[in-house]
Parts: sequence; C-alpha cells; structure tokens
Amino acid sequence: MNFQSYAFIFMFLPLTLLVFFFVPKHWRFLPLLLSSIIFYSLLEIKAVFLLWSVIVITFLIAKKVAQGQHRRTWFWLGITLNLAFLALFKYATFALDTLQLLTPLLPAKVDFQLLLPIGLSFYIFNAIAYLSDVYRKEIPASLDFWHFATGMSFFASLLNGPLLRQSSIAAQFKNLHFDANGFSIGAQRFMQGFCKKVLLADALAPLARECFVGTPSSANLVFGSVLYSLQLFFDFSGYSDMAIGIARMFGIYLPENFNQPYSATSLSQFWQRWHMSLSGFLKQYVYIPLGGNRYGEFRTGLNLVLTMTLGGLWHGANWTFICWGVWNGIFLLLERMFQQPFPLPKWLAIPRTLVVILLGRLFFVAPDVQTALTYFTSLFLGNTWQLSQNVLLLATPERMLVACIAILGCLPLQLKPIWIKHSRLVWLPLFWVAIAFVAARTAEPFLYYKF
Amino acid sequence: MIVLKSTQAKYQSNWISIGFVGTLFLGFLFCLFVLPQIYLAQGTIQNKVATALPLTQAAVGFVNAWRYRFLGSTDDQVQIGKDGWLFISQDLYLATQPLENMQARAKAVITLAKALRSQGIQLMVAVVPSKARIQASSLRTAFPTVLQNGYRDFIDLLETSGVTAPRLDVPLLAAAQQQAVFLKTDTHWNIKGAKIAAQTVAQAALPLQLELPVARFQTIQSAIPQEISGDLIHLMGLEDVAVPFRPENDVDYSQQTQNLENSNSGLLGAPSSAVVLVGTSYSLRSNFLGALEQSLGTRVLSVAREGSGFEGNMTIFLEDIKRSKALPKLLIWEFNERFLYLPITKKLPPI
Repeated sequence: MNFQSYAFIFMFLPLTLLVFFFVPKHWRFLPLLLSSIIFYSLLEIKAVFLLWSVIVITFLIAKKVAQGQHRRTWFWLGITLNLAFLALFKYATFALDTLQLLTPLLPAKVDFQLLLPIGLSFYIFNAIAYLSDVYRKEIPASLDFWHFATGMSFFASLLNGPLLRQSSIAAQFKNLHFDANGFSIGAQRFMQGFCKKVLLADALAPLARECFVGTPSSANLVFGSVLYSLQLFFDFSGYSDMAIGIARMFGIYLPENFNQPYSATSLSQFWQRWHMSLSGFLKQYVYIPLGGNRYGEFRTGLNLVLTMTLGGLWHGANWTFICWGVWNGIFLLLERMFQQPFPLPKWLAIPRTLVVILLGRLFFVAPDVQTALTYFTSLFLGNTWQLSQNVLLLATPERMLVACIAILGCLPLQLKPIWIKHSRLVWLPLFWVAIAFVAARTAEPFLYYKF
Repeated sequence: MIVLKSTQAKYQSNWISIGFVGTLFLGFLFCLFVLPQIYLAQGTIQNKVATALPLTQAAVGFVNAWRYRFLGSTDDQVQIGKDGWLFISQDLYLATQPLENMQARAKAVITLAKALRSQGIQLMVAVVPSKARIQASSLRTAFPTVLQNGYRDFIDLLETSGVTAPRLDVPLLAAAQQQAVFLKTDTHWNIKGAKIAAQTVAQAALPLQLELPVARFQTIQSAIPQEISGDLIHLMGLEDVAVPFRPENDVDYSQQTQNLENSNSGLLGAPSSAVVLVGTSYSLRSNFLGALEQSLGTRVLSVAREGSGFEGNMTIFLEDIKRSKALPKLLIWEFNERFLYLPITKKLPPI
C-alpha cells in the first residue's frame, strides 16, 4: 500500500487515527504496532516474518550486549546476523553472478533469486545502529520490547526511512499524547509530501524514463539527468515529508532527511543535505569507526571512498551503484584536496556541485555498467544534440510547467514572512487536486522502494 | 500585535487540520458505504478502493478537463493536434529499430502469402496508413522523418515479392487535401476515408482476375449527420465532461450497405463468400465492409475484430481454415500502419 493511494489516505490512515485517538495514552503504541503489521502484510505477507525475526534477534542480542558478559562477541554476532539477512536477500544473486564472472571455470550459472523485501535495507540499518549504540553505551538496552518493535516496524518510516536511531524513537512510544498543534503541523507536512510526489515527481516520471530508453542522444542524457534528479528529489523528499508528517500526527518526531540539497555549494555539503539520515548513519557507523580523518590525508581519502562505496552498495546489488559510490568518494576526495587552495564563489560552486551530481546519476539510472559507460561516451563524444521524437512527444506543456515549478522548488528562495505564513493555506486545495490526480494517472511506485 | 499574529496562525492551522481531517474522514465514510464493492472488486487493496469509490470517475474527469483546457495537455496515449484534432500517440512514437521491424513483418507476410497461394488463396494486404500521416497538417509536431517512407517501403517489399498490396496512402492523402478522411476525435477513418480505401482495395483486386460470385448492393445514408464521441476522447478520460472542457464531438453521416439479392446463400442459408476480410476495428467502422462489398460487387465475409492488432485475427483465421473445407479465393488482410514498426512478439502459425 502506497502513501499516495486511496486505500491509505481514505481507509488506513483515518482508521489508525481514530483508534489511536480513543486508546489510553500508555497503550497508544499498540494501534501503531498493529497497523504497522497490517501495512507491511498488505505489501508482502512473507516479509513480515523476516522483519519480526530481525526485531526479535536484535532486541535479544542488544540485551546480551548491555549485560556486559562477552558483549563484544554478542555485538558482532548481532551485526553478522543482520548483515547475513541483508546479504542473503539482497546481495546473494549479485555475489554469485560476480563470482561467475571472475571465475569462468565455475559450473553453469546458478539461478538463485530470493524475494527482496521492501524496506529491508532500511530496517537492517536501523537494527545495526541500535546494536552499535548499545555496544558503545550511548543508550541503555532497557527499552521495552513492544516499544522497540513499534519503533522498528513503524509504518511511516518502515519502507523508505528516514533511518532511525532507536534511542530517539522507541522512547517516544512510551507516552504518546495527542497534540492539536503537532497534528496540524503533521497534516501540513503530509500534504506537502503528497503534492510533491503526485503533482511533481509522478508527472515527470514517464518523461525522465523515456530519456534513457534505447541509445539516448547527448541531449536526451542531459535532459534526462536533470529530469531524473528532479523526480528523485521530489519522490524521495515527498516520501520523507509524508513519513515525518504522519509520525507528527501521532505525536512522534522523525529526523529530517533533506535540506535543499540542490543548492549545496560543495559535494560534502550536498551529502549533509541529501538523505541526511543515511549520510549520518554512514558517518557515525562507518566513516568514524574506519578512522575518519584522524590518521592522515591518505587514510582520510581512503575512508571517504570506502564509506561512499558502501553507501552506493546499500542502494542496490549492482556494480552501477558501486561505481556511483566510488564516483562520489573520488569527487569528495578531490574536493577535499582542492577546495581550500582554490575556493570558488557561490554562483560557480553550486553549478559545479550539480554537474558532479547529475553526471553521477548516469550510473544511478543505468541498468548495468556497460550501459552507464555508453551514456558517458554518448554524452562526451556523441554529437546528437537533439531530443528524440518520443521525448519530444512526452514533453507536454504540462510537464514543462511542472519541471519549471520543480526547479523553482529546488532553489533556496528567501520568501517574505508574510508569504510563508499564507503559503500554508495553499496546501489543502493542492492536496485535493493531488487526490484527484491520483485517480487520473497511473501510480508510480516510490523510486527508493527498490533500494 | 504578536498575540494577534499567533492567533491568526492558530486559526489558519485549525482550518487546515479541519480540512485535512474532513477530507480523510469523508473519504473514509465513502469507503464504508461501498465496503461490499471494495470487497468484491478485483486486484490489490489499492485498486479495489480506487475502483469502488464513487467519486473516482468524477475526479478523473475533473483532472483531465483541467489539464486539457488550461495546460493543453492530456494522457500520454493521445496527442493534441490543431483545431480540435486528436491523434493516437502510437502513430508518432518510435519503437526501437522501427524499420528493421517493418522489414521483418514484410518477410512474415510474404511467407504467409506464399503458403496461402499454395492452397489456392490469394492474399491482399490493405495497410491502413496512420492518421498522423494522412492528416499531418493538423499535427502540432512533424510526422517522424524516420517513418516518412516506411509505409511506401513496406508496400514495395510486398509488391516486389508478388503480394498484392494497394497503396491506400496516395488516394487518402489526395482526398485529405480537400476534406478530412479521418474523424477528428477518433483513431479511425470517416465515411469518406473508408469509402476511398474500399474502392482502392477493390481496384487492386481487378488484375487478379478472380471469378467472384456477383452480388448487387445498395448503400443508404442517414438523413441527418450524427455526433460521434471518438475513442480518443475516451482515452483522454473526457467522455463525461462538458464540451468547453473537451474537444468537440465529430459529426458524420452513418451509412449502411444492403445486399439487394439473396442468391448468394450457401447450404442452409449460411453465407458462402469467396472473399474474406480479416481486419481490425478499421474494418468495423464507417461502413468500410459495405463499401468494400459494393466496390467489389461480391459478398465479403468479415472476421474483423476490435483491437486485433497485426497478427491477432489472422492467427484465428489460419487456425479456422485448417478445419474448413470451403476456402476463400481472396483473403483481404487489413491492419494499421502503426503495427508495422513494432517488434514481432508472436509468430503467425504455420498453415
């Protein structure tokens, strides 16, 4: 069930709100837990068992870690088990295919394909973060199991994050109280996200997709890269807004995930503003444990590239994501080396950062590395600076208008306070329009579902 | 002043919350009313709710009318042309390797024609040129350059191999200079276009010197032209919308062709025809069949079907003739140009 479906907004959400409202404060986590189970079951009933295995195993191991005896062993056992789940369901086929490529002497291709549960990468990382926090004694493992389970399986953030630190989330389920102002803020945030997804991201999706069909021309690649980047931002940030908004309606605070990333003046700033919860996770649980910037320039550079490569791999079991990670790592490294001696003015730094991001997206959209390399060849060596017939057909006045609005939405516009105040009133009518659009258009799944 | 501002903000917030909750719970009430329909509907829970909700259709109409009227845009399946003309996007989309696909299809048709000839059946291929090619002056974009010669090349390939394939594009293009030969809001031809195509097909049958049983026909035309809400309006989701918010309906006469004698009946009164028409929806529209019968001067058995595409109906026909004793002398295979450029997904069955 998608957040932008009628089933969610007209059945699931009102019913959950209704039950939540009438249940006593201390039991309010219960309707959230039950609705989270129903929500996930409606997507993939089999995957519910995997989610609950992760929850139970992580909780029990965290208790053992906190008790102090053999805590290191328990901690690594917990990490290994979680990573094993991830490896088995997400990376096994990729690993076997790669092994086959590297060792041609191996027998014929092994056909091994397990169901990839939606949101697996998110809740596994949540579990790892929890174990790490308990191991580092940053939080006690004294959480109530049911609060922990509600936090881990909370339907608002289960599928596409934001990635959560249980220290801040699970505790909130202890005492949930209805707050009218918070509800209003949450409702506005949900409507913003809903409009971003339905009116902007979904409108651009067919055109962005068409730009990469077949052997795209240079113009298609440039246009497609811009459109895909807009679609990805409004799709994912739309989801995050909806998740944060839903949580707020129930009195829960989720961390922010985006902060005007396309106006970043450097790549490092971009990664502090894009998918902030993942960047934070990678910094906290990968980059710093690897040594961060404490062991000289060479190790710092290596750590950066390694961290970004792992971040790339987190997005999917494909060499394209690894290349994308390495791409980002290398450019972060170059930026580190040259930014201080050669600082750029803001008006030049923003487009430079965007160019690196947009070019990197070619790895992100390509189905395989060979195709990605074809894209680069076509972009830099091709001379077809004409959009293809199919792209021109899909570039309707409506889409061009949406693209312009989307670009404006990415700019760091300084609105006058009076405008900010009154802009809130726009969301309700826009929400109604977006609801109508849901019926008229083919639903586009969230892009981050596949990660 | 500060107190006033905060009161105003609170007032706004309250209204937003009320509006939001009202929307959610109004939808929820609607869902409760149609709960049995939701339960009985097909598909996932998302589809069930979307299908069963009573306001869905109204929402579709509202959105599409708004998009059409104010943004000059519509569903991706339809292209808006000039002066109320609509085109199906498939006429203009380019498949991967369209000309290679066209050549592969020509090869398949030639192979089939040879096999049919060995059974005494003469195949005639009537490729309906795409509306976008014939009414190109009403397009907002140019007809794709890659496909410019596609139609002619396909016909040439068939003719070179001895397969009769009249060029319908030439008379239709000539006629379109004077008057429309396709309906504005529909993918199909109008009465005039269908008649021209039928006459061209009949002309092409003459050199084949087939001794076809003769029949006489009379065509009656309605006195008053009728309004036609084209299939493209339906594709745009505007069929329930008032006229200022959607293109105007087409207006065309309706025609009906009648057989003046009943002498062409076979055993037990079942029609036995020397000519069979395997076709798509084009054969079912604007009295194409009647015009063809009248132009040929013989009865035509039509096995045309809606949405049968390139190979769909031919596959059924080929399976049927395996069991049939009375084979036709002439088999007319009508399909639209747009299928030529798509990759072959299903092969025609052997005879």
